[in-house]
Amino acid sequence: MNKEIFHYDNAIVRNFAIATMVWGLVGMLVGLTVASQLVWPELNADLPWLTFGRIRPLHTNAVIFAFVGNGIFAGVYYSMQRLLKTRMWSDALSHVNFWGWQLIIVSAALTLPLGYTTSKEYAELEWPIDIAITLVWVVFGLNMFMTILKRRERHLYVAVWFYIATFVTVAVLHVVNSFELPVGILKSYSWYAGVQDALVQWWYGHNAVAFFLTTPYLGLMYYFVPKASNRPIYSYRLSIIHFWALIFIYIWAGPHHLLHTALPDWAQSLGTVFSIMLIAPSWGGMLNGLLTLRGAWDKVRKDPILKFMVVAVSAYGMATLEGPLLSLKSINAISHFTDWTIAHVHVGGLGWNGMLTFGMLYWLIPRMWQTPLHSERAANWHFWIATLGILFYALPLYWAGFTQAMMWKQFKPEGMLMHPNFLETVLQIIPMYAMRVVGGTLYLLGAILMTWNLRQTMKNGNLLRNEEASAPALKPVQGRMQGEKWHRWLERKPALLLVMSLIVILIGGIAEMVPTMLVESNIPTIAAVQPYSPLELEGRDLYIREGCNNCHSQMIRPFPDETERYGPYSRAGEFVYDHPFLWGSKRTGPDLQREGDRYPDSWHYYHMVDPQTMSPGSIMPRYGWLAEDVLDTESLSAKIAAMRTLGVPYPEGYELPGSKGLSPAAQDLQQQADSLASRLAGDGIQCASDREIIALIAYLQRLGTDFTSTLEP
Amino acid sequence: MMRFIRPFLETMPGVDRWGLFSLLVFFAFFSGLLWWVSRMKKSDVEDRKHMPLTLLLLLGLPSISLASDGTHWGMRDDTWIFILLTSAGLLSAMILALLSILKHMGAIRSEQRTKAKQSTLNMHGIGLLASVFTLSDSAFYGLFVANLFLMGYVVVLLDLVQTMAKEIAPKPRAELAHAEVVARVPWWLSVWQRINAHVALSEEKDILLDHQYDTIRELDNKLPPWWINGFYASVVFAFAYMFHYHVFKYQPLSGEAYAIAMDEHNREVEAYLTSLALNVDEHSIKFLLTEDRLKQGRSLFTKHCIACHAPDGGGALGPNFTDEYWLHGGTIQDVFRVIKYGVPKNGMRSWQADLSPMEIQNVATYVMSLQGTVPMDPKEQQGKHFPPAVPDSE
Repeated sequence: MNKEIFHYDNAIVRNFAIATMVWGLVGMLVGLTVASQLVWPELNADLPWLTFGRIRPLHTNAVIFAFVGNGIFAGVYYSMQRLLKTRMWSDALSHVNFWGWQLIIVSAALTLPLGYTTSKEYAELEWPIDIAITLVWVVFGLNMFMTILKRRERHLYVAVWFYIATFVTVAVLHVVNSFELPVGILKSYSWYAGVQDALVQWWYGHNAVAFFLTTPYLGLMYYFVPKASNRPIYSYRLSIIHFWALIFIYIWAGPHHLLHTALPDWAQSLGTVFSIMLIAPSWGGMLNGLLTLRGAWDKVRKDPILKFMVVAVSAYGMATLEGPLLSLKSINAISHFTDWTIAHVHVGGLGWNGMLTFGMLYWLIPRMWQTPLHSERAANWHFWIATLGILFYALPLYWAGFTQAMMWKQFKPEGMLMHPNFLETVLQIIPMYAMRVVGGTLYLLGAILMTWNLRQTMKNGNLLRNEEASAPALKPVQGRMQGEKWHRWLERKPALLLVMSLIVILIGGIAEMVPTMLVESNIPTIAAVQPYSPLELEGRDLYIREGCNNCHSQMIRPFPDETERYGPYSRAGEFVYDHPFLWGSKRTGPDLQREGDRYPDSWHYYHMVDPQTMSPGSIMPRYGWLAEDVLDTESLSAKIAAMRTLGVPYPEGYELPGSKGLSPAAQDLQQQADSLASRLAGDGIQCASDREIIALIAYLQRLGTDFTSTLEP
Repeated sequence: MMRFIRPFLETMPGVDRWGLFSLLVFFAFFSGLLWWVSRMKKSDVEDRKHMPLTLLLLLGLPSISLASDGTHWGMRDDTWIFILLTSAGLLSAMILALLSILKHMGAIRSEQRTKAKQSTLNMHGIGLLASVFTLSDSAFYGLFVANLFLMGYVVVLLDLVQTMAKEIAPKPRAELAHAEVVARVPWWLSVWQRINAHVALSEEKDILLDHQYDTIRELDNKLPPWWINGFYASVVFAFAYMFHYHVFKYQPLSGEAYAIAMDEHNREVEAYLTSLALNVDEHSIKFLLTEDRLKQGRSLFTKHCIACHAPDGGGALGPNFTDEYWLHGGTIQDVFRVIKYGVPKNGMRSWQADLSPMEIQNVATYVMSLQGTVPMDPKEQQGKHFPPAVPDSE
């Protein structure tokens, strides 16, 4: 046999590994900052770009796409070359992938604090960055696929199946969810409205977890766990079954983020049952990871790398059991909108993604730098600090979530709410928030320790930039080989594998989205619901800019306590002009769906400028600049036109300048702003009518009133 | 801790046990894992190096060593088989019973829903089951899940029976020798292997696939039976769930569920407020000559008062109630107060420890109603004159 000599590209892995560490520290630090702001709101120093609403998305984007994202690339670029016995197809594309991705991260780190956001969770980045993500992702996919095609290994190992499924699914998710109509260089409106937007968003959001945080990491697990433990994978057939079952079922489960909302009941039920069916496929991955360690448990005791991996895989198992349980409507009624969800995702994030990344880095770096780890003791310390950190993080938040949900629901026997003031239920759990800060600090300290340890290791050794390897070239094979089972045959047909994955993941999305979009009975119309006025539309964009939806929901669930607290529960028809939807997923503050006419304008003014004056003890940031900054109405006509394109019935010519120079839309805006300002003046507040706060108050005072006006006798 | 949670739980229909259950599962597993990792000592390592930590989850399963020559824990295998089969039979019976309860509950639920629509839900007469399960989601799904677990348990038991039956069958000598080797495997390991249908570590070369990827090899162990059966069960659950809500409509969907929950809430509040109204005192009492007040008042009067006031209220030791003269005031408020607190210096005792406020009200009402009647043997007028009391309007 003629062996060919080739070299693995370690330099690109080095780049991604270092980026993983750096962005990991940044993302966790931002996380720690937002967590601390919930205990000490003054930590934002009254700076707009440091407020919770703006940097909470920065935290999620940084840890998901910067920390885990670079971790994925590091692991994939390392393992794929070796599993396919070839160098990456194109070093140039590898570099475009690396630098493009870092550029995207930097632009996210700049735009999100400045308030450029679509408001859709984990998809907050505005349209130019969305396009950049698409391009870089295609570069990654192309490079990966061409590498697969020129491989020297006939069959694809299970890790590579997961990489392929990751690539195709993330591409579909990102593109479909990012359909948006630009109205400016960094501003766009979601193509979908209300219920449909919510369904698409959570189909995306849920599967971002599935195909960005789960499937690529399962691929990494399939490479690094057997490598680190030197044990064979437990069961080949288990990997086949759980792979296909996982990617097929995962896609359907998105609606479990929208239980008890205005989403049609049938879609909610699908979300529930597919979540339950997801337990076994997820656990298949956990089993294949843990049982691979069969016979190696003595090593686990000694080797910090394996310890990290065991905790990671166990946390994966826990999170994927808990998730389906949270998808049962009765449990979701308690957990949703509370910190229970936050605890749940952090078991997955800190436990599964974080710990597996750490284990992988501890394994990779000494090998690439050809030297032992600088300090095994420090790695052990890291393990214990991180594990403790997860516990200190998660347990208080479970408690907080449970406590708050119970307090929301509690009635006095006379039929009034026991805690009618939402703030009471927040103040009750502030101590838990403080404990969560301790947990997060521990976890971050561990990551700092690791960074130091690995940096020392790099210093001690020499990077082997190009690692020599050899293997014979593949000879082409026609048809089925002797005794080859069908799946084994499929494993050497990467294009077919990709197409099959694509088909499998499209089924669930189509089955849920198409009827919601097309069948009218799913969203019964309400005649009284009218488009927002120009001023309210601008106010809504401010609401989005400040990230209000990160703490305030606009979705009243059909429970007695919620209708008692907030007003009539939300109907699907109320959101038909909401591009994007703003239902929110967490209530750090109260729901705002029926905020309109609840308080006088002056209350909102004072509350926005300093929440503590109206709600002593409130942890909401002060929004003083809203009362000072002048509302920018330059893109008003573009916004109206875009909304009309999306189906919002503004009259033709509404945004076009008339004979007097002002468009009817601009006149309406001026008129509404003036009257609001004079109402404020009547309450002794001097505020010019061109300030941002006027628009925001106008929007808040509109919220939910269209529907409630139909109820009054 | 429980004192903190309980009042919350009690105020929430349908969600009481599940939240805790989920929390407990999570905590148990995670702390179990930590406990296990932390307590491993060097000396344990040799013995435990094959023990996967998920075993902790399965300690509840029958722990019967499989490797032996026909006896287990001092009992013959055929005895064991008998016991196991009996348990399997009993469990199957339980499953059937649970299924019929579930079916029955379905019927109750739809009945209750119809009634709730008329907003006069009456729990009486539906029977014991209704009072136990009522409309609680958690009870329903608790039973459902319990049933699934029981079914799984039966499968495991039958599986064990089959294995033991194989063992009892006469074996060739070579296999007996082999069995002795296997017998050194600790009991939990063999149970673990059995549960997962593992191939033993010592024999795994038989299932090692012939390829390798960057030195990674793959075994081809069977799918763990509990895993694949759990998967099937979840698929069955999914269909059952969809049919339950969207085909048979045993339980209401969100809008209707809200209406029912609101109904129930309003009823509870109303009941509470009514109970407040019954809690009368000398200030809030109204003078109403309703038939049920008089009826209970008369019977209580007959029981407790006639000794001093005569059966017709004409008076004896105590004063006469039929005239217009009163010692301590002639309004119903006054009479209520006298009955409640008594006038010890005149020999009238307090009745508040004996009679509920409502009962005192009814006795007072009856007493007031006696005014103007003609007793057989009236006592002389005592106290001041009061004009006859006029009943309050409702």
